[in-house]
Amino acid sequence: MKKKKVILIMLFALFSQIAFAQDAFIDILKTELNRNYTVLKDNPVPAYYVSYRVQDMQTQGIRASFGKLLLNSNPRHQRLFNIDVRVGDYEMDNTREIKGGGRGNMYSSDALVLDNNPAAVQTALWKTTDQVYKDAVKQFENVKANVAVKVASEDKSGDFTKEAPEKYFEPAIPLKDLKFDASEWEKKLKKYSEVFYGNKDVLSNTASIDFELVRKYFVDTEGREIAENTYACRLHISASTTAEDGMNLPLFLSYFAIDAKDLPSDAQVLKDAGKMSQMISDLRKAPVAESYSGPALMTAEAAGVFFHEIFGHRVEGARLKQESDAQTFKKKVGEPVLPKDISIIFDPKLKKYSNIPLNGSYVFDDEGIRGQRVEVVKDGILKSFLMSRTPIDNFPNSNGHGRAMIYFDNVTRQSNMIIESSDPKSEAELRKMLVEEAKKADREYAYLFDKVSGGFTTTGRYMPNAFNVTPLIVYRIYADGRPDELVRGVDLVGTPLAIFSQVAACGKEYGVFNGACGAESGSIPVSCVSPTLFIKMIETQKKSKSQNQPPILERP
Amino acid sequence: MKIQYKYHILAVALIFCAGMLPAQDNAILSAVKSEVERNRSGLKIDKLKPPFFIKYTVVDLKSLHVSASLGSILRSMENSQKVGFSNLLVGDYDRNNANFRQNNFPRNVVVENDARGIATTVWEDLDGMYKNAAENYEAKVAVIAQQNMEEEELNLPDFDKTAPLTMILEPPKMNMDRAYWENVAIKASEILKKYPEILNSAVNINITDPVIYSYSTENTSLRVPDPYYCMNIYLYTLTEDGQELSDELYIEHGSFEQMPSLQAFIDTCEAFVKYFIELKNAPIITEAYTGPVLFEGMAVPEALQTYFFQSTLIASRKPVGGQGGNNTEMMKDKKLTSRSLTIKSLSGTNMYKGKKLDGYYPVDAEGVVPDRELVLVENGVLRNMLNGRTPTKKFRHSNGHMRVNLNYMNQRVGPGNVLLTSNDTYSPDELRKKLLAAAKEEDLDYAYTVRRYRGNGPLSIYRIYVADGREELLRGAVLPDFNIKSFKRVLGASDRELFYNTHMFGNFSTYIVPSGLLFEEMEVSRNNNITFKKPFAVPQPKW
Repeated sequence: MKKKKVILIMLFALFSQIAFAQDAFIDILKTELNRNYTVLKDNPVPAYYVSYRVQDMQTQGIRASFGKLLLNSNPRHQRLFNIDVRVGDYEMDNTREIKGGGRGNMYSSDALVLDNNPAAVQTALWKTTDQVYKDAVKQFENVKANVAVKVASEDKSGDFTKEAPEKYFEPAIPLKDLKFDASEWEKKLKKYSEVFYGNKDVLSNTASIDFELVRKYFVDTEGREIAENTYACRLHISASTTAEDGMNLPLFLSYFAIDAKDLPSDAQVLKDAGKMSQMISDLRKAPVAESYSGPALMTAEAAGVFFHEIFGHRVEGARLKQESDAQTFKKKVGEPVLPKDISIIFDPKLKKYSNIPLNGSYVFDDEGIRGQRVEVVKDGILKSFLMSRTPIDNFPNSNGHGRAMIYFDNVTRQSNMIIESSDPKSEAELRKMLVEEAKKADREYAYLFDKVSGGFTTTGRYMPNAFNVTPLIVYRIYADGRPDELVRGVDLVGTPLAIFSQVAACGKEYGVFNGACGAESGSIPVSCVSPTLFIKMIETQKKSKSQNQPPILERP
Repeated sequence: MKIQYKYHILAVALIFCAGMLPAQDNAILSAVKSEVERNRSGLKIDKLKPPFFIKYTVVDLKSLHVSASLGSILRSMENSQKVGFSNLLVGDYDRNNANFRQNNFPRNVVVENDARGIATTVWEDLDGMYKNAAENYEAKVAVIAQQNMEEEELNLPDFDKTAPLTMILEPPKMNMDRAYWENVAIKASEILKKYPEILNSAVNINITDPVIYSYSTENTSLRVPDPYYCMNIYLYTLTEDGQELSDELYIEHGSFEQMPSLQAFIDTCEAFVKYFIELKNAPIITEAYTGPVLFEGMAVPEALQTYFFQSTLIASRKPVGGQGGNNTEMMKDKKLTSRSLTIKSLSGTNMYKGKKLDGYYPVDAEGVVPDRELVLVENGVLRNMLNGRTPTKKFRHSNGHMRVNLNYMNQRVGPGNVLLTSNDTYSPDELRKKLLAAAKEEDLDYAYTVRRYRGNGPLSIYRIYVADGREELLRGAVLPDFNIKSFKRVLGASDRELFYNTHMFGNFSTYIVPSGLLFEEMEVSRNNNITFKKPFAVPQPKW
């Protein structure tokens, strides 16, 4: 057995080398990287680090509305790159925060030709490297002046972590191998969106699929050479209505799969769409909720978004280095921050949870660092942070969470967040706890947040450190046992530390929320795996609403 | 840098009968018509006025964009979509919500020629448009009531009446062969490999095949194709002293037959590259100059376009409660340019001296057929301005110049075909002699000729020495006092005509102009806004 393993490893190593030799594009990137670095490292203001990040993206999007095709986009192929040049050293470089100022204009991203034409590829890289290097030199002078005139930073860590380089290669995947059948999907989307045509309450509707195959390349002057593929399909169905009081009421269904064939069956999607259409009509007639404070349940999906916004963004390491950030958890390592049965893990290596594919998976992050499992909270105690190559005090290394869209510079971002409880309660137990808490607090009813669209949070110091989660489906759960009542028009609001102290219990059933998170480095795919959540005290406020009347004429 | 164009007559069939339309086209127009009419009779809120005019336009757009650099594809995209936009007026022709706040955004229409799908977008759009229009109408009336407006302005109608029109034109067959155009872009961009002095370059191909469908409650039904082909080369370099130079050359036509062959395009690109390298190596201007300047070639239409068709000859009414409007109309029947110059709009003319005019369009975006010939400036005197259906004090009726922009997202008043003539013409040699004589008269050792002029963009300027007629290309110059007043002091024009197609300011237009125009006096000086960059830190890659 041992012998077999050795042979397998040798075969793999041989294969990897052959594959490397076959990827001419990496060779071109390396050639130009080394050619530039050889000169720039000996310049009067030397560069100490250069990286080239490239994304070769093949995408296709189709959209239908009320049973008809709205957009049948042709496949789109583009190859974009982003360059990082650092001057100074690992302790202090051009990326350091300018206190009281911005980073200035950076032109680090552009397009490359789609084939491996060395003349075109190298020229584009060379031109942009020069621009980025000159910007870096200029910025480094600003940094040095800023450090000299401002008070010392609270965080004494350097600006760039030292990491062992890795080489990693996945063979390229031809687009045709993924067998994405656009004409088949045009038919499906028309069928899915047709469901809403019959419901005159539905005023707008789309069913869309976005398919992408992305080959990511990364090379740097520390010796990293990475070629990794990601591909995914996202099916999205949305519909909305306008209530008599002008409130816009949107709902959506979102499905994620690595392979289009793994998306739910037509029967399942049609069933879900049918339910959603009925819910649109129900919501239109539902009463408007008033502002409220008291106990609430969040379904697994809603809880995932809640944790992503309120907790996740506050454990992103690079953010905690900024003097302008409120640094909610920076000094709380080793302290309880959540109930002792709750643990939170971020794991980009995890591709599926209970056989449901996760959107925030990757092998290497956008700084060429292998994505690692990070136990951020263990039994309620804060243990660690998500780290990119921007170090913070006591966390001198990356755990592979430096992420960015190709147009932006990397910052620390979330991946797959998993919230676990060592003392989960059944749904019935949670509901019982909710009703008891409502009675104790002398409330006529409590709230169940069933579905949310997303949310936002501010983590800075200048504005209140608050969050807002936007629920779409909310029920009143009456303390006296009356049937649950669908309501509309509430936003869940609050501040992080106050709300975490009110998290009381988790459920046994888990839900997965696959979505996209937008922050400083653009929109990136993330997942949240969460159980249902019982919170003893939440606060809601009335949702802003349009002042427009519903349409005058019936939809044709 | 001469560009040889072949002109062919494109046969278009005018069919004045919607019944002869293919079934799928009938589906678009009849779906739009039926939904517009349903909205006209049904849109009404309480005591607010109903709409009296609704127009809905659907642009069925197919497009191809190919971009290549150094022999490889950078981008290649085909697109097929339908875009819809509307105009809805509440009130009446005399007083309505027009010329006030605008809330008009295009939206996607189903790509299928499906009545239900098209009607749904029209309905969704018009509902919002009506609510805005009804509210804006009341607000506009309230604003007018609080203003002490001149009687003439107060009594000016808000929207010009026009006769119903049915115009159904057959779309031409276009060459959207992606492989063909990719090959053109690859082959043309490949020549740049021979010129490492050019630090960045791209060859771009843009082809759009739109068919504009429009129905209005004035009983106007249109199906109008608007084909457009464009080949472009972009160049960038850095001079020895660190000046960044970039320039583009466009070849634009309304039919494939007029576009150059691959070899002709390569030759054009090569000539442009050679000129650009010459410019890179040219000295920077150091002396200030005031004296005669001769505009030649493309610089003539470029200057005409910049100073007359960006705003001067575009009639525009000041919005109620807002800023703007074009006061040039107050110059009506007064001298605007040298008496030697006459400017005409030939937007409704498709041929001129046996050549096809690409700026021709049969009907404008407001359903008005443009004049075959409209005198704008007659012997230097302002007679007319281009307008749409918004009356101004001096120009009450539309002359059919509201045009859908090339991005098919909005519309503006703009030219189609423009003819500039002079009654004081000379052969190119005589004109040059006149330039040098004028310079000598001013005790100058040299004069200037400008061959490219794109507003604040690249300038191609040559110094011509009085003593021996020698030419010297210069860079870094600007013409700080060049403006519309410069056209009052013109010493003469070339007796040769130049045809020039352009898409500047969003409209595809053709200019027919003298190939030279001699201005009596102009300042030429160094551009002080140039930032000189350090050379590249790393030597250029070699291949």
